[in-house]
Amino acid sequence: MAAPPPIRNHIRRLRFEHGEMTQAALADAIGMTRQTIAAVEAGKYAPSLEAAFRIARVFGKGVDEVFWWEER
Amino acid sequence: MTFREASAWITLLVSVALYGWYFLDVGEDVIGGGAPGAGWMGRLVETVIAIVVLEIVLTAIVAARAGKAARAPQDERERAAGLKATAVAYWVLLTGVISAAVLVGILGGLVSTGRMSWGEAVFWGLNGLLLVLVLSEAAKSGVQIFQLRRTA
Repeated sequence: MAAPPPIRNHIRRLRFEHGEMTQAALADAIGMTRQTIAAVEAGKYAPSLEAAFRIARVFGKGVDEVFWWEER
Repeated sequence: MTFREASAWITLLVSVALYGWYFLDVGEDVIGGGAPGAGWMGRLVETVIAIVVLEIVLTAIVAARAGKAARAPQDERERAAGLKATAVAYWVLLTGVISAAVLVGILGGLVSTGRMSWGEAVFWGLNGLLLVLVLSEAAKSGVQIFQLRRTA
């Protein structure tokens, strides 16, 4: 089975800092399913560049402030 | 479970269960070297109708429970799972079609030498092709479910 992508994120913390935004609310804001947001947040799915930008824009951040590459 | 995953489960389970029942049913007629039963074509039509009706009804129930999520377009993770599933199903289909072509050649040889009747050749040829399509569809649904669950 393929290893999870080496991309980590601060989505959980950012949601908390934005009025405890739910995964469903974030999903609605960027046109994704709640399950996909949960998968991105858990590091099981690496979003496309466009989706990463959309997520970052919801929080008013740059992409590099939300996602980072984790060396193994 | 998302609507897409539920829909894939419905396709997989209904196809495997009903085509499995069909292949076991007609298989009983030919196991031990017997000739295929005369009613196999009717049983195939019944099976296809049952699959279509069951899939429509079950998908409608799941869609009603899912609400607006069922009408929402696929997102990128769901599309990626679908593409991966289609790629795998393509290879299953390609391998199966090549095998079926070989089977048709063998059947043609048996018919031309009088060792098999046309009726039996049509039975084996059509059911061989049907098996290929069923395996391809099952592979597609199975891979789609696996991909969706692996990244969930």
